[in-house]
This record gives sequence, C-alpha cells and structure tokens, in this order.
Amino acid sequence: MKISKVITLIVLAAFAGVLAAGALQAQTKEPIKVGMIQPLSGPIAAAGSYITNGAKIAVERINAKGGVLGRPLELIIEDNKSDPAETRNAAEKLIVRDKVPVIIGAWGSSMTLAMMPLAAQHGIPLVVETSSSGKITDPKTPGQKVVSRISPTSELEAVGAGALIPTLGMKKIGYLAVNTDWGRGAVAAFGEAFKKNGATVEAVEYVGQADTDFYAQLTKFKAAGVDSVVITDDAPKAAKMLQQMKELGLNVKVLVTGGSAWPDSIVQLAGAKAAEGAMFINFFNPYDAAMAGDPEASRAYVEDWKKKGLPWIGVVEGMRGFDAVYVVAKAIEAAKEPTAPKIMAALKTLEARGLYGLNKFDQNGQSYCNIIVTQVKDGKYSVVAMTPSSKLWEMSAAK
Amino acid sequence: MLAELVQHIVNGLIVGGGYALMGIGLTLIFGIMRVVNFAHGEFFMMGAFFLFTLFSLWGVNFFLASVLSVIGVGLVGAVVERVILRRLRLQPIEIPMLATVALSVIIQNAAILLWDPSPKTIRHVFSPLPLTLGPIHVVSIRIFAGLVAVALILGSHLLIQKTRIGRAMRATFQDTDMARLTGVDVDKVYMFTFAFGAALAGASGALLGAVFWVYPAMGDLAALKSFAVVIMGGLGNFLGAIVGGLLLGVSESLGAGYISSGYKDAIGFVLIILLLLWRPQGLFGKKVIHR
Repeated sequence: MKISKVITLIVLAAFAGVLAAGALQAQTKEPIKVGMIQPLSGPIAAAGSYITNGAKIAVERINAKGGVLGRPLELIIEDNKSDPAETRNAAEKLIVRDKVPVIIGAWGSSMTLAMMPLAAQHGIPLVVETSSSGKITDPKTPGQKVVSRISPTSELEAVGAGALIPTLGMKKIGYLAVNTDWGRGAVAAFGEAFKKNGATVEAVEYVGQADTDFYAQLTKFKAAGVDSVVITDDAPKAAKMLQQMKELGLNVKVLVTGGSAWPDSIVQLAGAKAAEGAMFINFFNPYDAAMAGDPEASRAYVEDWKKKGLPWIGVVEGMRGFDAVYVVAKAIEAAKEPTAPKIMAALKTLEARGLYGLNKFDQNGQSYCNIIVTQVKDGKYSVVAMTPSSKLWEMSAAK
Repeated sequence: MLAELVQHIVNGLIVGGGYALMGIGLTLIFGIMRVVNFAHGEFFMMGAFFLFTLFSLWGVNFFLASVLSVIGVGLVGAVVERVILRRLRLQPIEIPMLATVALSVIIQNAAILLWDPSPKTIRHVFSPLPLTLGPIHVVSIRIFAGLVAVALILGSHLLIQKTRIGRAMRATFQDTDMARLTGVDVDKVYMFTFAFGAALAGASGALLGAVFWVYPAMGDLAALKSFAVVIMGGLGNFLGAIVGGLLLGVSESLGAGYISSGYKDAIGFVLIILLLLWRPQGLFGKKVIHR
C-alpha cells in the first residue's frame, strides 16, 4: 500500500518534472517559424517538391549548428496546388494563423503575384526563390515593396545569355512558352534580346500549364520553317516538347530558358537521343561547386541531396529552396529578432553568398545570380558559358 | 499547306480517340446511374500509373501490363460502387456527386504519396522514330493508341447491344423500376456499369500515359475534357460521346494550329457554348420532359 503510494508520487513528480522541463525548453528554445508556399500538387508538383526538399536540407543544416539566434528554425510548408488563388489562401493561413514573420514562395510568377498584395498589407517580407516575371520587382506592382527575389528575371537571363546569342546561329526562331506571367514575360525579354542580335522570332506559341501534346504548335513551326526553337517551361514539359520535335521530324537548335530544365533532367525524361544538343539557361552547376557563390555550401548541399536519396534530376531546382532558407536565416541573424519589420529591414542590406551567387538586393528587391548556359553533349552535362553573379552586379552598378 | 492540315487532323483524331473513351465511360455512368463522376480523371490517372508500375517498375510485358491495368482500374471502380455509391443511391444527385469529388482528392493525393509527384515516362516497346507518309509524321505508339481506342469503342458498342448484361444496362437506362420488375438485378448492373466506365477511363489513361507521361494531376485536365465531350454529345448518349470526343480533339488541334495555341483549351469550350446555344440537349441528346 505504502510502496505503491510512493511509486505513484515518484511517477507523478517525474512527470511534472518532464512537463516543466518541456515548458522551460519551449520558452527558451521556441522555434522560429518560416512560412513556405510551393506547388505540392497539380501539374508542377514535382518542382515544388524539389524546392521544399532543398529547403529542408538547409533547415536541418542550420538547426544542427544551433539554429538562428539560439533557436531552431521551423519550416511551415503550404501547398498552393499550382494555383494563384490557392497561393493567396495559403499566404493568408500562414500570416493569420501561424503568424510567420517571413514567407518563401511561391514558384510560379502568377502565384507569387497573387500573394504579394496580401503580404504587403500585413507587412510580411517575401523571399521569392523561383519566379522570374519582371512584374514582381516592378515598383508599379502592388506589393513589390515586400519582395526580395533571389531568382533572376527573364530580362536578367536574357542579358546573361545575350552575349552568346550571335554565336548560337539562331536566325528564325519559334518560341514556345507556358501561358503564365512567367512565359509571357520571358517571350518579351528574350524577344528583345534576339532582335538586338539579328535573329527574328517567327512565331510565338503559348501552351497550357497542364498540356502534354504540342504537335499543333510544333507542326506550325515546321510549316513556318524555323531553324531554332526557344522554350520557356518547366523540365517535364520541355522534355516532352523535345521528344515531340523529334517525332515530327523537326530537327533544329533548342534553347530552354528559366533554369528549371537542365541537361540531366532532360536526358532522363526525354531520352538521350531527343535531348542531344539542347541548350539550357541554368543558375547552378551541381558538378562544379566552384561556380557557386559559396562553394562549401554548394558541396554540402549536393552531398546531402545524394545522401537522402532524392531524385537527382531535382537537384538544380532544389537549390532555390536551400538558398532561400539561408537568405532568411542570415536576415534573421542580422535582424537580431524574428519579427517581420526587422527581417524586412535586414533583407534590404543583406549580402549572403549562396548557391545562386551573391544574394543581395537592389532598390527594387532584385538579386543578380550566376547565369550558366549548359548543353547536352554526347548525352552528358556540359557547360557552354557562364556570366557570374559578380559581373552582373558590376554591370548594374555601371548603369 | 494541305500537309499541315492533314497533320493537324491526324493529331486531333488520335487525341480525340482518348477523349472519346473517357467520354463513353462518363456518359454511361451518368446515363445509367445518374451519378456525375468527378473522380473520372483519377481513374484515368490510375490506368496510367498501374501501367507504369507493372511495366516500367516490375517489368511485366507491355501488352499484358496494359490489359491488367485496365482490369485493375475496373476492380477499383467496382469497389467504389459497392462501398460508397451504393449507400448513397437513394440520396439526391448532389450527394454522390460530392462523394466523387472527395474521392478524386483522396485518390490524387494518395498517388502523390505512393508515386511522388514527379512526372514519369513509360518507355514503351514502340520505336520513338516517326513513320513518314510523305510530309505526315506519326509515331507508332500514337497509331497503336488510336487503334486500341477504336477497338475499345467498338467492343463497348457490341457489349451494350449484343450481350445479356448490355441488355440489362439498356433496360436500366430506360426505366430502372421497370427493369427491376422484369427481374434485372439492378445492383449488379450499377456495379458493372461503374466498373466498366472506370475501366474505359483507365484504358484511356494507360494509352495516353504511354504517349505522353504519367503524373498524379494528369486526370484534372482529362476529366474537364471528358465533361466537355459528354455535354457536347448529349448527356448519357453513347454515340454522342464518340462524336464529341473526336470533334473536340480535331477542333483543338485545328484551333491551336490556325488560330492560337494560347487558346487551345478555350477553343473546345467556345465550341461547346455555340453548340449548346444551337442544341441545348447536346448533339445527340433527347429533349427531357420532366414529369
């Protein structure tokens, strides 16, 4: 009787102790929440899953080294279902219910544009990791003032790749772009660059986000007699387009913009035959850490990606999530407290070397990253040329 | 110029065959069971994923794997009817409809968990090089998909017109109570109809999945298209679904080719609106007078 009472007491005391310790720990080491919105279902779910995986690798590395301001980071990931309206809903949930001080997102330009006014209304800083429509960092766009974008605009891609255009031998171009803010922005930016370099865009065709059949557009290109095709779309669709070009007997030069498609992903998705010779604009080279702004981080990221057994074709996309988390972490560190206004202010003056290159933000919140032109050569990854982030920063300073 | 036109029409007919298969399944389910099946796109997706799993992952023979995938989707359809829809049969039409919406979300997310969202290519047994007929290019997998679609459409027609279960289906379609009174096992007819409709969607998914690629959200657009096909052809009308499917495929292909590919999906729907203005009951639908 007595013994059982003692045991009960001991157990109760131990339990209370555990609870108290837990509460104490929670008080001192409460995690810092970071919101993230990515397409995890819908037609571009693959890209979103790569980016969240990259972000998780960054969070694990940061937390393993003691977190930020002595507190661990906690990533709260929301699915925008590849849809602008859902993106806004997700942002609302993160801001109002989870009370996150900063949001990373939201892959597609149309999706990012949809949540910008809401974030601005609540004064929540946005770190944009993928979107490349020029509108996002245009001061006329509602919500632009809360944006810090580490991914390049299509204009920047065109500038970075521009020097190369005359050497590619592209004269009559058929442009195939996804029918979103991203695709339409890229057509405008690259159209300009091509025109400057003496090439003409013969035909522009837009495709739906979930389209899989491009025979109609490609048949049109064939009839127009183009000598090259420029593609702005994600990797799976670019792969399908290349495959169908071969099927229709359209053997021309190909350049894929946007940074999501890269030699390895296209070789795997389309087969080496259809991919041969295709060129890509990329921002990260997983085979050469020295190209990144922070070679050590680059090496560690690629190693972790492999160690986790994640799909290799996603490593180039996943880097965006990794870099975005590091930018956020460094901004919180500099802000000294994890509140939205402090983080926003810290982002304005931040300089963080990352995988993209040198991440810092101009007066419109735009960063200038490495632009690497790659190509499938004999079924393998090869680099054609590179404009480093530092060169682009110099060019912009000179302007 | 003519070559381009013919190429557009050939492309459109092959894709249209897939739409028609989807449409037939949907229209049968609606016509006989009065169920608006919002999970139809997910059966389409399952057909493709079953083929991918059997053929690409487990190495089963391509043709055997295709047949097994279609049967597999049919079985899932039968289970769905037995476990979910049968319980809701006496409810108003929107209750089973909502159940299929839920089912669609559940199946699609289950597919994301099971197979991850990255698109998969089925490296089928056909040559990737095109067959050339003068200036027209067609790859053999597309010809195969087109022929199988035709065979399945004919097979479905024979099944409905010539077999015992087909007769029972037609009887249930005309008047459920009367059919029951004359000894038709209506439960069985419903279960068979749903399984058969699902299997047709699965077949379409397996065929188009092999031509294009396989990913969890692939059913969304396919479902939308099949609703368009069915409404165009007249709800519950078999011939309407076939004609509607081919019409949609060809008009999309021609529209994208000669008007603007940015409006490819819109063209189909503009066609539907025009058609419904002219014939509100659809191409082959009969006017329904409510009693």
